[in-house]
Formats: sequence, C-alpha cells, structure tokens
Amino acid sequence: MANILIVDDSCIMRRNLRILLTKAGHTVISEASDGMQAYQEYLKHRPDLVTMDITMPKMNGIESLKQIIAADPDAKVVMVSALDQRNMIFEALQSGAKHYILKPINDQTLEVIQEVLL
Amino acid sequence: MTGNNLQTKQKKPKKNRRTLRKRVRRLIYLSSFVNTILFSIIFFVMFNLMLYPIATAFNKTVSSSVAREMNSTQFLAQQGIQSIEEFDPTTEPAQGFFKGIEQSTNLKDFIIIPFGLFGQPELGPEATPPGEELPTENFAHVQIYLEDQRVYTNMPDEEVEALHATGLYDALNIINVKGRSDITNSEGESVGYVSAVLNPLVVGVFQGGSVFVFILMAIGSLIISSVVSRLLTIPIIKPILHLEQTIKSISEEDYEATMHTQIVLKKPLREIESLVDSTNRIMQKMKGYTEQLQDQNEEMEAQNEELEAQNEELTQSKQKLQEIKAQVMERERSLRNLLNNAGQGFLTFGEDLLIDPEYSLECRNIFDREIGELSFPALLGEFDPEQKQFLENILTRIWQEKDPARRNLYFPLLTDELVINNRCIHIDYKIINPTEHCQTMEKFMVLLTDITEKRSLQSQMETERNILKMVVKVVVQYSDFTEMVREFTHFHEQKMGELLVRDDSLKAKLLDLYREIHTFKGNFSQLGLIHIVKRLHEAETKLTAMIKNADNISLNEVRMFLESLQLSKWMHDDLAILEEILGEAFFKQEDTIAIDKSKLLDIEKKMLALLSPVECKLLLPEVRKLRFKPFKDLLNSYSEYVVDIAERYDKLITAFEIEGDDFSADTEQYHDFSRSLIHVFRNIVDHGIETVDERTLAGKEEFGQIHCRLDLHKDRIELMIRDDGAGIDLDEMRERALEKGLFDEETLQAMSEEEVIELIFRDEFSTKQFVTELSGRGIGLSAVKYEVEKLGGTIRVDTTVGEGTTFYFELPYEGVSELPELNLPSIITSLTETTTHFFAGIDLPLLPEEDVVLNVGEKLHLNQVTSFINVKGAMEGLFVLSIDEPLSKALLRKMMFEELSPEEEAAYVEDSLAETANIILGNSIRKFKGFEEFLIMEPPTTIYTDGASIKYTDSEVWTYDLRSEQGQLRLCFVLNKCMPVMEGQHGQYLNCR
Repeated sequence: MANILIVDDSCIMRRNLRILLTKAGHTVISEASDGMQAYQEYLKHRPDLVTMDITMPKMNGIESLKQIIAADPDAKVVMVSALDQRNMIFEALQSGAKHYILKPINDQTLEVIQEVLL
Repeated sequence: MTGNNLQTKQKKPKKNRRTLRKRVRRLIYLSSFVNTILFSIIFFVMFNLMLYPIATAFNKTVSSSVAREMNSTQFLAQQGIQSIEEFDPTTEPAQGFFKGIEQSTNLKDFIIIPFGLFGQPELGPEATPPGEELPTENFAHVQIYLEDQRVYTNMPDEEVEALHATGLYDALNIINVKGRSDITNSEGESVGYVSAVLNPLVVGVFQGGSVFVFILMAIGSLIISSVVSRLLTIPIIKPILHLEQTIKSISEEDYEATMHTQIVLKKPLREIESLVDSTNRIMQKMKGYTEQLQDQNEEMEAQNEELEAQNEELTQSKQKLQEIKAQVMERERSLRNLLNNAGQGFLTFGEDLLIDPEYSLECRNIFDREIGELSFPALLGEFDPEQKQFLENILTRIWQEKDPARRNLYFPLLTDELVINNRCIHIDYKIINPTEHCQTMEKFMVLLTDITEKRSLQSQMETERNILKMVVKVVVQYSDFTEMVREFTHFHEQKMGELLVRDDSLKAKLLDLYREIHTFKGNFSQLGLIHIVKRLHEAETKLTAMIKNADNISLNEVRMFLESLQLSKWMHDDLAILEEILGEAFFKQEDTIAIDKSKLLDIEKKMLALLSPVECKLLLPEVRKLRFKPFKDLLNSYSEYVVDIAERYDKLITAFEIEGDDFSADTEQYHDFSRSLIHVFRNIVDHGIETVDERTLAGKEEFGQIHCRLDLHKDRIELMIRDDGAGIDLDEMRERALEKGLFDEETLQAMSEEEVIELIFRDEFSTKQFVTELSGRGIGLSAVKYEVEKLGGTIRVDTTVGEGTTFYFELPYEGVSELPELNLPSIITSLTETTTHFFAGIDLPLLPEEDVVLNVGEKLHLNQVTSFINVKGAMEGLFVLSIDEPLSKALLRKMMFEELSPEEEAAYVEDSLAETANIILGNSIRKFKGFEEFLIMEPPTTIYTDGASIKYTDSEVWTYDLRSEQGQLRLCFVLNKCMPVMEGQHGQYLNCR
C-alpha cells in the first residue's frame, strides 16, 4: 500500500522489517544502512514513510531525521529503537519524528505504521 | 587449289564439319564440272567451227565429184548421150548413175557401227543385206539441177520437208553450206549444177552425239570428283577434324584425357602430319608445362603451408609475447597501484643517495614534483637545511657499517618527522636486503606518511574537548565566571593603572602584577578558558624576565609593555567561542543565562562521547540540572483551565495556587504525567464539584475549592489534589460497574472501598467519550493511572461522599546531584539476567556454567563469533558477547522471520549477534534508572574469533559463561579497557582496534 524506506545498520533488522511490511501489503522501495544513505535515499525515492534506526554508524538516526525533516517537513519518519534509547527517542520526537517502534519488532509495529500513515 | 579450299574453310569456323566435306566435294565437283563443261563447250564450238570448212569442203567435193563425173565424157558415154543437155534422168543409165550416187552416199558404207546394236550380226561395209531394213540415210544430200530442173535428189522431199520442219536444217545451214558445183557442157557452159550438202541429220547426229558424249564425260567427272574428294577427305579432313576435336576438348579443360592422347592419323599428308606433330608437340609441351606448373604449384603450396605454419607460430608467439607483456604490465600496474594507493610515499636509493626513479605516486604529491635522481639528503634539506648534512653523514655511516646491530644505533637518529610543503610528514627508514633475483646491492627504502590530517584531527579533537570543558565549566559555574570576567575587566581598566602609579619600587610593582596575572591565570584555567590563559602565561613569562631585569627598565617601559598587551581584547576569543556555542543570549550581565535546551542536550551528548568517565560523572549531573525546571511549572496552567471549563459546566470554581515545595525536576520526564492530570481536573469539575445550587443546598460555598500541593521528599514527589465536591458515591460506582457488565453483583458487593474506588481508573469507566490528544493510551482517569505507573509511582484516592475527593500521587524523584554509583557486579547481574531472559524468550534456553568470574590481566578466551560494544560516558567499558557458531546459527534462525539460504545465513550471522548484543546491553542498562542517560552505546562490531583470545592489561574483566544445546555463550564486561592485544589462534599477536 505505502512506499516505505527502511533504515537500519543491521541487515537482520532490515530483512525482518522488510518481510513484515511486505506481508502487510506495503512496498519496501529502498533500504539504507546509515544516516547519510538514508537521507540520500529519501531524496531519491520520497517514500511515504521511513523507519529509522537510531544507533547507526556515520550518521545516527537523529541526525538523519533532522536532515530529512529539513528537506521535507512533511516527511513521516518512525524511529526504531531498543528501549534504552529513551532520551534519544524523545529528541527524535522533538525533531519531527512521527512515532517510534520499540525492538523487538512485532505486529504492534505494523499498528504503529498504520497509524502514522493515516 | 587445295590450299585455297583450306583457307576458305578457316573463315567459317561455325559451320559443322559437314561444311568441310561438302565444301571440298562441292568445289571439286564444281571444278571438274566446270572444267568439263568448258571443255565441252569449247570443243563443241571448235567442232562446229571446224565443221564449216570441212562441211563446205566436203559438200564441194561431193558436188564437184559428182559434177566432174557428170562432166566427164565417160559419163556421156555411159549415158549414151552426146551432151549433158540430153541427160534424161529417167533413163536407165541415169538411174544407174543415180543409184551409184546413192550407193556412194549411203551411210552404211561409212558406218562402222557394229550392227550388233541393232541386233544384227556384224556386217562390214561391203556387206549388203538384201532387202533388209538398212539405214537408207545418205550422208549427203545431193541434188542435181539441170537447166533449172532438179533431176535428181537422193533425199525425198518429204524427208527434207520433215527436216525443215524440225528446224534443224536451218540451224545447221549456218555451217552446213551447200556445196555447189557446176555442171558444164562440152563448151564449158554451166548447164546445171550439183549441190551437195551434208545430211544435217548426220551433222545433227554428230552434234548430238558429241553432246551426249560430253554429258557422259560430265557425269564421269562428277564421279571421279567424288572419289577424289573422298580421297582428299581421308588424309586431310579427318585429321583436321580429329585435331579440331582434340583441341576443342583441350579447350574444355579436359586436358587430362586429351593430354595423354596423341593424335594418330592414318597416312596423314605431310602438312597435316606436321600440324599433328606440332599439335602433339604442343600438347606434349603443354603437358610438360602443366606438370611443371603442377609441380610448382605443389611446391608453392608446400611452401605456403610452411609459411602459414610459420605464420601461425609467429602469431602464437606474438600472442604469447603480448600476453606476457600484458601480464608484466598488469603486474607492474598493480604493484604501482598498490604503492600509489598505499597513501604512503615509497622511495629507494642506493649508496649514492640518489633517489631511484621508481617511487610511488604519493612522493610526487608530497614533494610536489618529480624526485627521481635527486639526492635524498639534499631533497629533505630543502625543507630543513640543517638536516641535509646531518642526513648525509648518517646515511653514509649506515652504509659503511655492515653490522646490523650497530646500524640500528644510527637509525633512530634519522629525521623522523618533517614539514614538507606545509604538510606534516612522518618518515620511516628501512634497509632492503638484496635477493637473488633483483638488485645485487642493498638499498635504502624510505616511507613517507602524511600525518597532517591525523595531527590536525588530533589537535582538533583536543581543541574541541577543551572548548567543551570550558563551556561546561562556564555554564555550570556561571556566577563564578561572570565574577571573574568582572574582576579581570576591573583589573585592566583600573587596578592595573593604580598599581603602576603606586608608591613603591618597580620591582615590587612588577611582582604584584605578576601575582595578579598569575591568579587570573589560575582562575581562568579552572574554567578552561584556554586563550586567555595562554596570553596570561606569556605575560607571566615576560614579566618574569622584566622582574629579573627590574633595575634596568623604567616605569614607562612597563606601561608601554602593558599597553601593548591590549588586555581588554584578551577575553574576546574565549567569549566568542562561548557565544557561538551557547547562543547570543549568553553573557548578559545577569546571573542567569538562557540556553536552548537542544543545545544542552547536544552538550550532554558530546560530554558522554568525549569526556572521560571521571569528568562525566562530575559534570554531567550539573549540566543536566540545567535542564530542570520548577515542577510547579507543569501544573500552572491547570488553574486557569479549571476556571474555564467550570463556566461551561455552569459551575463556579476559584482559581487555585499550587502550594508546597519549589523544586526543579526533569520536566520532560513528568510531562506526560502532568498532561494526564487534565482528566483529574476535568473529573473534578465534571463530577466532583456540584452546581452552584447543589452546593448552596449542601451548605457549601458557591465557588468550589481545589487544593493542590507539592511536596518533595528525598526521592519522592508527593502531589495532592483535593476538591471539596461531592465525592465518589460507591454505590453508584457499583451500579455502573454492573451496568457495564464488568463484574457481577456478588463480586461487587464483596469489594472493599478501595477496590470500588479503583474502578474509576478503568478504561471503560470514563464518563466522557472524548479522545485524548495526549498519550493516546486509554481514556480518562485510566490514562492518569497509566502515566503514574509508567513513572513508577502510585495513586491513591480518598473520598468522602458529600465532602470531597483527594487524589494522592506519589512519584519517584531522581536525585540530580549524584550519579548512582557504579556497581559493576549489579550490571553484570543485570546483563546475565537479560541474556538468560532473552535467549529463553527465543526458545534457546541457556544454563549457567559457573558464577561470574572476575579476572584482571589475564587472557580472555573467545568463542567462534564475537560482538563487541563499546560503552562510553559515565562509565567506560566494553561489552563482549562471544558464542559458538552453532549457537549463533540457531540464534539467527530464531531472529529471522523467514528461512535463509546457507549463503545468506553466513552473511547474517554476525549481524544477528550484533543485534542480540545490542538488545541485551541496552535492556540491561535500562534497568539502571538514571544510568542510561549517562551512557552511550556505540554500534557493535562483530567478527569471527575462532580460537582467539584477548588480553586486557590493567582492566577488570568480568566473565559469565552460559551453555545451551548448541554451544557456549560467553558474556563479558571489560571495565577501563586499555589497548587490548588480541592473540590469534597460532599465537600471533594482532592489534585489535
């Protein structure tokens, strides 16, 4: 249904997310493994939604989020994080992230995504 | 003639061979025929021509003979007459005379025709068949005229007439002229004449006969011709035809057959023979030529083959050469590539100290030119003149010294760092020993590494750290800072001047100055204001020199010196930096500064990343404190809000104030909670406070009262919200619960007061169905409960019907001042618990092997796959998760949503362990409240570490082993890691990091 950009430095996460999202009927139009790439891929594909991991090398999710929001204030970015990154999640939300997903991902993830897309 | 014929034949090659024969025949026929005809005609003509005189002569002769006879006297006697005029034809003697004439002119006497033709026996001329039919033809027609009267004719007129009729007579008359002889009498007078003429018949017969003969001759000639032509054919035509055929067949490339056939002719004519011979010879020759040609051809082919073979060889060897050449070039290129891309400059030189032409690209970049054949010391000497000679000397010395041990003495003395073209270059030296294949002598190899970036980066980092420290310190000790600034300003504006004009020795003044400056230096350095500190230090040094020289300088000089320092400007740089980082709002001459919270967060993060744990522990709490706001701020807005909605409900409520302690807290943390309180207030207005009328009836004031109180205990915030409204009717609650089907009557009756009251926090119980825009969880008071519990707090409700309700909130309060003490064993316990929990959760149960083990300085053995996560901030350490490969595979499978192929598995295994480590560490840390904000987890590094072990000198290594069916799991935490040295499987030492 929606075009989604998956950003995570772990290929397992990306893979799992891809499977989950595709099963739900969404299209994963691109993947990125660091913040820089995420930004570039966003500009290239303009997806409907971005799942953004917070801890990544080169440029972390928060920075990347800021860049994306700067380029497109309406961008829908959902942060993906493990529980310990609460303050980062908070910062992300302040910076324009629409929502967050906690790891490990499961069906609740899909609900969140649905919510954001609407 | 034959030749002519042949020639004519050659002009007509198209006609078939019949032409030849035909032609030959025809011509032969023609010629003989023509010959014959010509001859015949000529003869005929001649004959006739000759016949004329002969005929005439004959006629004359006959006539004259007869006339003579008649003229003779004998005749007269015979006749018995006296004169001719008396001749009487009818007399017997005349008759006899006539008969005699007749007889004498009878043909039969002259014909030698064998009467056999007429079927009669041969008769001679004398024979006179009696009364038989004889040709009574006379050979001459004799007529005798006497006195114009024909007296005799031997041919009857009828015959003559007939002859005339035929026309023959007349025709022949041309040649057959009558002969006439006169008959004379005794007197000699012509009394008559005798005419004789050849019997035209005879002449005719002659003619006809000759013609007949001629025709016969012609026919004969034809026959002869054909025979002749046939004779001609054989020796000439046949071989020619044969020749023609042969040549034709040769021309049609059937020379094989014809080449070997010699033309053989039967009795060939000489010319033909020679032609044939020539042709044969030609054919022979051709055959010979052909054979020669073939031979040559074969030879050529053989040569060609040879040539081709050679060509092949050549091409092959050429190809090989090219391949080799390409290989060589390739090798050279890759080698060059390697060298060039190594980012280091490589160059070599021999004893002559001249740089070999093969050096890496980087050298050119470093020196900005080609350096082949240049002298190495001279080259370096351009950038540092002192070095040139020195280098020369040492290098030469090293060269001369063959003992490696002694050489090593000199090596360290060589220039190891140099600034070349504004870049900092590190220099390494090596001696390359000769090998069998390449050079025969030793060479020096020099490695040049551009460390400019590294250096600048290092210094940058250093600068950043310092700046950060400065900022933090300034911010945290702001009042100190401002005071310091004030003092300094005061000093250079006023105090310094006063000092100088003081009544004292110069030396004392200088000393005082020095002291002041020194104090400032100390103070400013405490705050980390590096620039001004530097300047102060310089000033110090100069002052020291001046003090030593105090006797020799004047006050004015000192004054001028101080002026030259321009102390007023010293603060500039540092202030600029502070402003840049903290914003323009910084440094208003007040004791408070306004900093963006985002900037504070940035600073906090940077601190975690850059500062050492000790510094973190000291400074982080302070910085965090800055983000704290008065807790009361969270509740301020509710007063107005309550008044507002009260109006809508037609109720009256007085604005309330929040009483109690003023304290600051991380308002972010309590934000959600404070927002959720809207439900409480709303509830109060909606259900709690009664309408004005109701209140009046109940004897209460018109205006509803709300009390709000905040109390801070050591680690607890207590919030109380009380209203003097109607309270919660428990029975009503029970009824509603029953209505909503939450519980049955029995249970409800059995519930205690508290339990019933608790019902208000149930989702279904919210009386108003409004969608909260807050946290999005639950509705109404259940949201409040949720938030409170999320913070780890409690709610309690007290209510008295008719009197009011009180909400008591207890929330944990984080001690800002101190960081929780680092208790590594508890961290480890947390880690182990999380790990066990995690793996159990994914159906790979682990069982502990031993208790937690602490090692210092011993080797840490790793399993096959290991993830390392660096932890920085308030604590610096390394989290290590090392597992056996089968276990890692099992782990991967559990984590993936779908099946993977073996190749994919291999690729993802590391990642799965990294994720696991991430989750475990993250979750463990989270368990430490307040700790998580002081730590940063770096992204994990995962590698295959089969059989490897790490040695951390001077570090605490906490290890915990777990085991599952699939293998072992080793969990470690390394505290205060220094440079670890990883030992590989075979004992080789690898530098990790």
